[in-house]
Amino acid sequence: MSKLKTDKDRVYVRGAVLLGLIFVLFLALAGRLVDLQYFNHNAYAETASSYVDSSVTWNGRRGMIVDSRLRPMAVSLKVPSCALDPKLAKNSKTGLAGVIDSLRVSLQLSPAELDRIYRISSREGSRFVWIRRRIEDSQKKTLEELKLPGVYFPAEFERDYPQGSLASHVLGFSDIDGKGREGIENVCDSILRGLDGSRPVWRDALGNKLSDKEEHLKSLEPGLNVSLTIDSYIQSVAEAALKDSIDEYKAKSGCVVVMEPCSGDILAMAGYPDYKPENPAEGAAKNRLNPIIASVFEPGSIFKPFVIAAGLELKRVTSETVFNCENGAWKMPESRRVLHDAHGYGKLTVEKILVKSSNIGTAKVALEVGKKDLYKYLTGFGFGRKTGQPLIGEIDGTLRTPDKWSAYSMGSIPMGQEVTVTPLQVATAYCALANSGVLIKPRLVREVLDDDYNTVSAVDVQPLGRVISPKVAKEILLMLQKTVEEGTGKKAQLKKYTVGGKTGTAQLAVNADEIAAGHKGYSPNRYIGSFVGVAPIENPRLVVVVSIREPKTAHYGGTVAAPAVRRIIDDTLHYLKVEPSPADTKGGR
Amino acid sequence: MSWSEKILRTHWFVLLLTLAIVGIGLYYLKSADAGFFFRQIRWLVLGFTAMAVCYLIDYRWLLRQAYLLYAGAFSLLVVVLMLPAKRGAQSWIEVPGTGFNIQPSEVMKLCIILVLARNLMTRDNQATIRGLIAPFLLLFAPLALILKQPDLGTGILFPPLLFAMVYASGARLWHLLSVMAAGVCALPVMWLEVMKEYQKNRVRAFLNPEIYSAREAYQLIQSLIAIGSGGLYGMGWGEGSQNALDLLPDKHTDFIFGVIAEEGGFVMSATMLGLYWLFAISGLHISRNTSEPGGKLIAVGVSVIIGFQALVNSGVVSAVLPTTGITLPFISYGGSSMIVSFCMVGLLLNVSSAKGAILTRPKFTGEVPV
Repeated sequence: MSKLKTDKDRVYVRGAVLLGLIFVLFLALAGRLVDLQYFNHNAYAETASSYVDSSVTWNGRRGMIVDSRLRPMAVSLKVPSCALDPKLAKNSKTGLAGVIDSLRVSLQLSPAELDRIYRISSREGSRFVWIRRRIEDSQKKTLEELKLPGVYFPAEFERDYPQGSLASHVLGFSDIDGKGREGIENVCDSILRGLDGSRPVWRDALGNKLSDKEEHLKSLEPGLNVSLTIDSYIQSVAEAALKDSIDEYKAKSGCVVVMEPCSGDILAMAGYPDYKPENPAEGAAKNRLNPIIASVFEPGSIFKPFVIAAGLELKRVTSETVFNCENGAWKMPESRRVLHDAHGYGKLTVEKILVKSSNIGTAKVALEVGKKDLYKYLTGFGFGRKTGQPLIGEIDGTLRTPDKWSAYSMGSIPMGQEVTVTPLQVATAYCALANSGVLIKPRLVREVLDDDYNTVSAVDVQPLGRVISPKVAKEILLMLQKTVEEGTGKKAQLKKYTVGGKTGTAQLAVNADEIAAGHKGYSPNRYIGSFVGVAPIENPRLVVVVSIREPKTAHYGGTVAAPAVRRIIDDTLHYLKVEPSPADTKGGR
Repeated sequence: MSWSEKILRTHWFVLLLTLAIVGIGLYYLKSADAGFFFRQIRWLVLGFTAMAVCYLIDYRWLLRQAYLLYAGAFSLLVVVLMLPAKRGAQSWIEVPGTGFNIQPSEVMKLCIILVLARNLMTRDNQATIRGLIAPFLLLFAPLALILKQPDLGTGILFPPLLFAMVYASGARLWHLLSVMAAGVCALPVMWLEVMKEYQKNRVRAFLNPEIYSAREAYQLIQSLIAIGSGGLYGMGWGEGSQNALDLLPDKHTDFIFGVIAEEGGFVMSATMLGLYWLFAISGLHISRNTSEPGGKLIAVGVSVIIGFQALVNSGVVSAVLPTTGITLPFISYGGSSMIVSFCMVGLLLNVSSAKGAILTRPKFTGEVPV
């Protein structure tokens, strides 16, 4: 028998020796790990992080702004930029100066740029400086071939507006860091903005990039897309019509807004002059202001339908009630104010008062309504307060409370003086007339969409309440139709569609020059000519407001603004494939 | 004993240890290289199959075939030396049509355990120098061929295996120590006559990593940075910079321990060492509780070879030992190594079940049924 099989003690000892030996070896190795991972951890961690050269923040791609039919209006494109790690350049053979000099030659850096680069590079511990943001692909290629130490090309996103300056006041713009500054870009910034990621850049001692893997991008996510109610086609039609009118009448500026009455959707809104969102600093700062929400004017006669509507709704008058229009001059009771009409009229029905746009007649209807009720209905139509559309910078306009009205006010307010409105307030109020009397909050953003155009959230249509009954609304619409067919708005007539509308010609307040020339109150020759169109009357699809400021060769709203409205309505209704109005709807009843 | 009876008597602790090592290994392999992760799963399936086969057949039948198997493995080692070198070594035989490469040295690792057990179990003169001649010859003949390839990594496991098995079967400690001393004395000869230049460079790099930083020691330094920067709790799965940046060569095979240490920290690297240690002592425990001498020696061989392989691998990765090219059992990507390791687990479980050995069994009394 072997000793193993007989000598118990020995067997036991041999097993123990093997076990002990294994234990000691494992323990020694564990000791080594403690040494490396605990006692020398800091030194190794530092070595490891020395490979992590710099951490570059990467903007997540900014979401798109698209129109109601998903046509892109603002997109983000990837473009290369050029950056430098000064430390790596300093450690290279050529040195910092050599590297920067090569860059200067390739990119034609200006002295100012060079100064900035040197200043930042020479800062203690500086690891990052932009050489130039947004370089051409060809420049990048040339520089890459030079293999300059420490030079690399982080991709950035550049905001591009594929439709140029179209809807610039709506879209706004974003700055070079991708932050929205104005318009939808600003308002929806948190939605559009991608989640920034940081990508560590690893290099070896020679500055060679060790890794540039996409998966090292931490938490980078593209932004969401925003779909507007704006339709690029309608927007372009509206902008073209506006610009042509401004050119034709040599006006100073103008604006247009197109809305859909049933939803409050803003289909187009534009001011002219405008600016290029790609280069917002190019033009004058005031061109960047959105006049649809941020400029006010005295509405003039386009205000009259709301006075008539109040009278009808309160049953103080009917459309057949007759008022004496005093042949064009009337001294108001309890006031020294004398009202004038452009043309003198005798007795007119309420309907004719609107069709002929009689100031005296409207004032008489207003007196029937009374101060309090007039105020109530005007605020009901949304005047004197913000419409609540999403863009920033909207102003209230002015509609004073009746206790602050003067003796003149009951003459002025019905004809659209002493009040100021924004073009959007006018459009919204006319939408209420066209929408059977229900006021709806204007909608500009329809939906938030993800990358695959799935709806993330939608903005609902928001009715704010009924202002007048459907019957009265219909009556007013028919009066507006008559205004176009027989009255002041003939230039807005269309063959295929019934159009209703109201002209407005408001005098501007005197400016400094005119005061110096001895004028008081209103300017003698500066006007705002406006026109509001609604079409088709039997089932309104559009409300169009065009307002032309300081036209030179004519000034009546019916002349300077109505043709633009006509053109916009015609094009848009065809575009929307709206059935032509039935023959029996023409000619009023 | 029927299969069902055998399965009921499975040494679950060893099986669970193996599964734990495999599981953690897969987890970090996925971080090191997701592509190899899926290919590794294929090898694992084959490995489990091989384990089942080695578990369910009668290991004594295998022992009876030991010389035949040894001869087969030996001829593979001869054949591989006649084939052209791949990746700088003649270590692989391609199985025609499959693209799968067999590593004969791995096959020999398994067969040498069986043949030594077979040889030692039948004799009782291990306490004499004469009794050591046969096992030494059996081992050093294939070892010479393996070093010729060269496959130092596999070869380095053979001497400890031999010493452990002959010691367990009764060799005198001073005999073995003398042999070791002789081996140490032979090192200069090895250095001058046997070792190839790249192997010498590895040793030089190991001794002076800073000087050899750019070339030979690159891997060692990267590995040390990986382990060291892991710290106590690690950088988190997939977060290790050495791993993510592919700074650590062979991170999915020989240096995967570096990835584990970087991303799992000391907590995980020590856990891994602990698991291997538990595996080795469980194997030795099975050996002590087994009365049948063949099974006893197989258990010693398996425990020592797996334990040592883990030690040498982590020793290399933590720069305690020069680079040898050795895989981490159950974890490193690779077919031959994986299948052979699982065969060994199968054998160990087989020995354990055959005598119903479990950890809680009463101590071996030395009474051997003959």
